[in-house]
Amino acid sequence: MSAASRAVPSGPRQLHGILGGVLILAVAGFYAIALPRLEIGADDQPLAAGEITQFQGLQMTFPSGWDRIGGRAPVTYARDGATVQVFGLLPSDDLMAAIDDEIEGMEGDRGEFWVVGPVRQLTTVAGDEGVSVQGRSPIQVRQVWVIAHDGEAVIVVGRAPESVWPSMSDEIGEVALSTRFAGDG
Amino acid sequence: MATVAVRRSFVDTSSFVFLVFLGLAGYGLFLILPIVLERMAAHPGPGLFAALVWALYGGILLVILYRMELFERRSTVTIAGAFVWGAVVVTGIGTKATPAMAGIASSWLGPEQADWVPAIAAPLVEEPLKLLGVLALAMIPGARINSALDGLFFGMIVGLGFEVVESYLYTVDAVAAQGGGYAAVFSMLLLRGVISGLWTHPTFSGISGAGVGYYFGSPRPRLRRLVVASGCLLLAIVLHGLFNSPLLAASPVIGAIVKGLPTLVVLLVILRMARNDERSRFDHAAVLAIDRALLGDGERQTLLHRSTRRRAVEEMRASSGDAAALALKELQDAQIEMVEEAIYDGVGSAGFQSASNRVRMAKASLSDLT
Repeated sequence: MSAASRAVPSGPRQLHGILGGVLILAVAGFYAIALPRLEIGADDQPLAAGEITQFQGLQMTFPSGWDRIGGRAPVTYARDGATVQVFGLLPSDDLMAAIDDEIEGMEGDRGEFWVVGPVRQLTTVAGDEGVSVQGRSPIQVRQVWVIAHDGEAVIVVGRAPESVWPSMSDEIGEVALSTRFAGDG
Repeated sequence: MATVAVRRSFVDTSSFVFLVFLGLAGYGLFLILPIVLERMAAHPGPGLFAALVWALYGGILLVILYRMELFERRSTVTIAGAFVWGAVVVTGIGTKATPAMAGIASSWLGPEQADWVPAIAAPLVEEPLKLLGVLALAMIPGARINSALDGLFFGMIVGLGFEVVESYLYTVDAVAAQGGGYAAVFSMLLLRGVISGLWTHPTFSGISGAGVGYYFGSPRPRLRRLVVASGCLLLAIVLHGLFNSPLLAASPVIGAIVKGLPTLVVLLVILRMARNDERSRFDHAAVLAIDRALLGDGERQTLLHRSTRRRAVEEMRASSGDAAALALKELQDAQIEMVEEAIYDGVGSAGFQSASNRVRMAKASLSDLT
C-alpha cells in the first residue's frame, strides 16, 4: 500500500456485528416494551377488585387488574397500557369552563393532532353532575371527565393507546362515574 | 490481486445490524399498518387521496434532497431503507412509547403544566428513535455513512419518512373530524407540509444524524466525537421541544414559523460546516492519493463545488458544443467516483481501479472532442 493511500482517511468503522445489533435492539426494546411498563413503577400498589381508593376525600371504585402508580400527584391508576389520572379537588363548580380548558389544551397540542368530540353531560353513580369530552389522536385516545360537587370539581383523565382503548373504555368510564365526594350520600 | 466485492448499499445479509434493521421494520409495519388501514377504510376516497398527496410530497422532497448531494449520489436502496425506518419503525414503536412517555411527563409536571407535556414526551421518544435508524445504517459499511454530511443526509431521509406517515394519519383524522370531505387534505398539506414541513422532523433528525456521521467519520478522539454526537441529539430534542411548546399557541401559523426558524438556521449552519469538512476530506484525498495525470490541480479545484462544476460544463458547451459538455460531465462524475472510492475502499480496491479506467476513457473522449 502506497504512502498516499495510507494517508487517505480510512473507510467507515466496521462496527456492524453482534454488539451493534444488540445496542439497536436494546434501545428499540426500551421504547417498545420497557417504557410503557415504566408507568407502573416500584411504588405501584395492586388494587383488589372493587377496591375503593381514597384521595383528598374522593372515592373511586376499580375493577380487578388495576395498579395505583407511585404516591405522587396526580394520582394515577394503570392497567394494560391504559391509565386513569385524578387531578385532585379544584375550587370550581363551572363545569364548562373547566372542560373548555381541557379542550383548548388538546386543540393547542403542537405534538399531536387531536380530534375533539362533543361535550356530553353526565351524572355519576352518586348523583353528581359532570361533563365529559373525548379526544382522539392517531395513536391514543384521551377522555376527560369534570365532575362537580358543592363548589368543588375533580378532573379525571382516562388515556390509552388507540389499540387498547376499545377494550378499556367501558372500564375507564365506570371508574370515572364511580367518583364520590366526601359529602355524597 | 485479490478483489473484494464492494457492498454499495446497506443490504448486507451477513450483518447482524442489517438483520435487526429488517426485523424492526417488520415489527414497526405490524404496529402501524393496521392503524393506517383503519383510517383509510373509515373514509376511503379522501383517505386514498390523502395517501397519494403525502406520497407525492415525500417523493418530491426525496428527489430534491437526492439532487442536493455535494459529490456522489448515494445508494437509492439505502435511501429507501432510511425512509422506511422513519415511516414504519419510528411511527410504529411511537404508538406504544409516546403515550407512555406522555403519561410519565404529565405525572411529573402536574395539571398546571399539562400544556408542556407534548414538548417533553414527543421529542424524548421520536428523536432517539429516528437517530437509531441513522446509527443502524452507520454500523453497516455498505451504507457508507462516514461523515457529518452523510449522517445529516440520512437523518433528513429518516425524518421525512416519519413526517409523511405521521402527516397522513393526522390528515385522515382531520378528514373524519370534518365529516369526510377533501378540504381537510389540502389544509393539512398546507399546515404540515408547507408551513411546518421545512423545519420539523426532517430537520430535527438531520441535526442529530450529522452527529452520528461525525462520530463515525471524524479522526478526532472518541470522547470528543461522543460529545459532539450527544450534543447534536440533545439539540434536536430541544428544538423539537421548542416547536411543540405552548409558546405562541394563540397563533398556530406564526408560532410554527417563529419556533421553527431556529431549527432551520441550526441545520443550515451544520450543513455548511459539514460540507466544508466534506470538501476538505475530498481535497486531501485527491492530493494524496490520485495521480495528477488523472486529476490535475485545476480539475480538483473545480470539482469541489457544484457551482464550479456546472460553470465548467457550461463553458465547455459554449466553446466546444453539447457533446464536449456531456463528455466533461462524464469526466467530472468519473473523477468524483474515483476520489470517493479512494476514500471509502482505498486505492487498491476494485472500485477505484474501475473508476480510474473510466476517468482515462472519459479524458480520451473529451480530448477527441476538443
